[in-house]
Amino acid sequence: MKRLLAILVFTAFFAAGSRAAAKEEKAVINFWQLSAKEEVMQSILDDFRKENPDIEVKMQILAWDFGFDKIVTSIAAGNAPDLCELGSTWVNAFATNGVLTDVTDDFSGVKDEYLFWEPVTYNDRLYGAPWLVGTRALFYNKDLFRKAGLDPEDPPETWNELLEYSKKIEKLGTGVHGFGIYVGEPYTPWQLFLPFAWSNGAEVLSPDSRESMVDSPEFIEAMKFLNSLKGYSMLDRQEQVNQAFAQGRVGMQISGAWNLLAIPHDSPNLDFGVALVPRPYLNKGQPVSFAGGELLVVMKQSKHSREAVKLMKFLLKEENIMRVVKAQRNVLPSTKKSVKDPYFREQPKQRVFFEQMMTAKAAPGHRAWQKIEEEISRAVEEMVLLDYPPSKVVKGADAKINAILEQTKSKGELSDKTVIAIFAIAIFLIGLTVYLWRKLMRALEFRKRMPLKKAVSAYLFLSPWLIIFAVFGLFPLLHSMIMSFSDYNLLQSKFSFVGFRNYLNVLIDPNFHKALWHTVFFAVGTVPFTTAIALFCALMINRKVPFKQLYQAGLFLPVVTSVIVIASIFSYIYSPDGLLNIAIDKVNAIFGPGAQVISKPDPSWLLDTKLALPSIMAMCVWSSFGYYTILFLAGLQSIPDETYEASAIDGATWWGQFRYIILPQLKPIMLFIVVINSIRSFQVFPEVFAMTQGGPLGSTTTVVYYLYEMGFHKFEMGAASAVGYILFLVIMGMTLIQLKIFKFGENIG
Amino acid sequence: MAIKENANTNYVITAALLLVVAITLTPLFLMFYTSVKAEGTLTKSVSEIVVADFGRENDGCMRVPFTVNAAGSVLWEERINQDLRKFSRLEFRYKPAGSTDIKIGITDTLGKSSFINLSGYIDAGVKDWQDVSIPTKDLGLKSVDARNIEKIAIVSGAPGSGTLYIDDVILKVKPVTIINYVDVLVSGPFGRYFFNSALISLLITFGNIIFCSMVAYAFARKEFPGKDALFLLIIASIMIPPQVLMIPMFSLMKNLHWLNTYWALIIPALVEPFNIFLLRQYIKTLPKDVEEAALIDGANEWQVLFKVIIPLSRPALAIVGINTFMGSWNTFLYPFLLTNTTEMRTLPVGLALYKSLYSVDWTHLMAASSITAIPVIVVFLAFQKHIIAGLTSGALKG
Repeated sequence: MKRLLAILVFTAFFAAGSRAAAKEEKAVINFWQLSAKEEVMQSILDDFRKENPDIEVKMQILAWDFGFDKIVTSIAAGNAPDLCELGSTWVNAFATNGVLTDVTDDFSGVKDEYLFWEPVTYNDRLYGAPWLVGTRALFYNKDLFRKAGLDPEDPPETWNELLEYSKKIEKLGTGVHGFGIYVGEPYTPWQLFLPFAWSNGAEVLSPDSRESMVDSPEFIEAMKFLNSLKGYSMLDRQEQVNQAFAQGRVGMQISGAWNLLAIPHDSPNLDFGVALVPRPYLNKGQPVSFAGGELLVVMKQSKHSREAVKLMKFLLKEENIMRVVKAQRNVLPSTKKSVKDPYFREQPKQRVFFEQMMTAKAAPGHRAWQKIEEEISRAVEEMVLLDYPPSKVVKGADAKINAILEQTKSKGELSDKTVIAIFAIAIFLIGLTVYLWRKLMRALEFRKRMPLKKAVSAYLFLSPWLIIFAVFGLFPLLHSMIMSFSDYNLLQSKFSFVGFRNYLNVLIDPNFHKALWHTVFFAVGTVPFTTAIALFCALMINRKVPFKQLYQAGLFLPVVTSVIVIASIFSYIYSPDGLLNIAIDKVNAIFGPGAQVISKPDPSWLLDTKLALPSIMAMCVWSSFGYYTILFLAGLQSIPDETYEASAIDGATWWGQFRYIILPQLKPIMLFIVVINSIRSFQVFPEVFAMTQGGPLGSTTTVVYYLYEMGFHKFEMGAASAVGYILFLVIMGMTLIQLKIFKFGENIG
Repeated sequence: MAIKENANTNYVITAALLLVVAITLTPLFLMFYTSVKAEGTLTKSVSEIVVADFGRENDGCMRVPFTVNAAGSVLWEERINQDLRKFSRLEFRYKPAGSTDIKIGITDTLGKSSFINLSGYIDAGVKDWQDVSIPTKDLGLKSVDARNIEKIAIVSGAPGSGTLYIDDVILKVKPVTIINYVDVLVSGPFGRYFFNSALISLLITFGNIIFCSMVAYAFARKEFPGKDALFLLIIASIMIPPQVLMIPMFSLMKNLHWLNTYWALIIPALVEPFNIFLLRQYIKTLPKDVEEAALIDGANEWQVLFKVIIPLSRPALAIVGINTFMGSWNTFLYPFLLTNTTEMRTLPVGLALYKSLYSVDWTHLMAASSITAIPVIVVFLAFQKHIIAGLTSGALKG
């Protein structure tokens, strides 16, 4: 009956799925984008299809979090989209690796009609075109202004006013903050902070982009200003601050036009205004804001670049851009003449954004900008989350940025040692094959009594495993060993031999040390707990209790659930409004109003550098102990009843029985569990990937996540392979040590 | 099996165990509960959204005197920007306006509208304030884009004049709904993801059952040169951490042009060394007489394998099949690395990548998670005994 039910449920899901899968069309142009909603884009694409019946367009919408990764791997895989949207800060990485098509000839004629060409301009050639632009403006809650005694029609125009107003609003009481500072994700900290620096006249790079200009009085002043706001601000990811602002818990935020859509959706009654970003003094500096935007590019790999350019021009028509703008209401058009569109007259808040765009500044174009912006974000987070003094974080960032600039300078040409490397590999493989062949022949000779036919027949049975293991096990293993001694760029597929340099670089990299420490901490922190809880539960279940199957099933369900599902649920539980915080509130309430017996982390569990990793560890203990409980149970059940009865007759207590009967019997199983559990903890990756992406501030980066970042974010495959082998050696060493300890214990006990 | 029979201890133990099981099951329960909610979460329940209350006091209502010459003139409207499928009713307080027809309706973001007569919901006999409650399904949701309703409006049904009084406009949230599942499966990519996961997992399971039996049979019953060495190799290969192979696998698949295809996800997983190990142990325990009889009768080895060994190994094969299915359904790393497009992703990968544009949409995320988790949970509950038996037999040898 249970099986029938299982099959029925399964078939129902399957049917729904196959229906969706049946609608397949042959695609000609692949278009990937992140910003526009499905419905409005499809209707624009329908118009394109009508005008161009010979071109088929397939659109895919990417999520912001992993969009960059997906685009990178698709280029490396050779199946990149033909037309693609790129965020303005991403274009650098791709343009400088030569994977974008030069479209100067198609667009130089209309250049003056659009804003924001900087991110796609290199050496006076255009490698894409601006589509949607955005900037950040100041949102302020008029109700909170009134309550704090501020004039709701007079938003702050200077830094001083911003600080004073924040203080007044913060005083309003529990749960209300004056301002919002973004932390816990890669882009938003620097996007919030850098405009302050710029409006104060500071710069990140020197005009020739060779030096860091971060260590300057203007920059430090801006940092100090942000620091002063810290005490009156909500510290969280931008999404969370946006939500809090919409709920009326934050007085002011500097954020983007998407809020104009989200706020009426979440709280239609919120009375808020939009204004230009405050500047340092009334008579100094401009209200500079961060200029960002989306650009359309054609990938060089594309086999249909003419059609892709056609689609690109169609999408960039003013009326089509405005269709997206009107439907989304959270983006601005890149077309200058749209300022005359009556839409902006009707939407005063949107108009403020367009005005702000005029004094907005884009990040400088530099091939290593992604790494540089990481350092600025890190400096902001160190100052805000860890309370480092502004001058210290600035000096640290300055040094790191100069180091990055040094690296990119000396990234010279790849040498042509490829041929030598291939020769060496070939000789090695030939030698190996000869050696193995001779061994095989000798083995066959010794067994001359066995007819060749029988041996061949046996090998035929073995062939599935032999083939798959050779191709997908042995070969990648050898390949990765070779790669670990080389320098291999993922995007350009170029390869050169560098000896042990990768291993050395990894072993001296402080980020690797941190990752290793996190991983060890993870193992040491989870294995004992998991083993103890599992043993405890197994002992309890082992007694004659009813509903044994229920307990087994209940404990085991987390084990069969996919890691990603568990990560999603726990992201939910750990969120600021999540189950855990609510439970803590209830417990605190028992001790009286306002009691803080257990304090909640600020900003939240997964954003606290000290608590994020333990939170993930707790989740892993939860999801795995059931498995080990079952194993312990199996071991316990192999102890015959007579042993217990005999010892009871001899007067043994429960503790005595545990120590002298149960423990020795369980030793082999316990060893197995500890070894397996340790190996698994050293390989933690999907949880980190799905929940924290290694953050905040790298506090949840484990060795495997470090490997992933090395290979797929920094494109350094050689170093990544080296990390894999180092990890393998560490795991083997640890396992051997564990085996030795247990054997040692056995001899004594 | 008890050490000391003691009624009180048993109660304590049962209570403790129930507590532990409650802890393990609560997050899963949370997932299912949230997946059927239209709005809000377990901790922050939203039962209604206030569209307009015009001020706290009862006198703070909307009062609109009007004189219109045509039908369809807007008397009052409010931007709501909501997904109307989440709500069960639209409610407000109303005072009859005069002798004119009044219509109420909705408009979506692309401009399409749907209006219905208010008269069906008003008690015309009552001249003072009354509560009006309109089920949202009456509002003609099928003729508009119900997911993106921009405005609610009250318009005139015919020329005429009067005074419109309205207050406390509220949308009531449905307590349970399947729209999250519908969104994610039908208009979202999860229908495709499900298909991919199912196809890949079934093929891998089937492949393992056939191929691992072949290999295990060879190790259990045959003699051949290099047998011990190869067996050692199988055990060693279980110990290779997948991370070491991550990068070269990617490169290999790229060179084979298998990236973003089913081949890349299925072929490498067709023969799991652990299954070979398990089956070998089991086949070794089978009595040899049946096989020998068959061989004497003239059967060749393949026939022995398929007609004798495999049927006799059903218990072990069940374990292999179930474990392989569950493992391949839940696997994340390689499907993530080796696929690029929606068409090819599996459920765990799709789930990891699922984030909405505006805010973290817990209800949809939980619906997607549930879809990923349910098949495996169902298979587990149906075949619980086999799975646990398989685990324990493997471990005791380890």
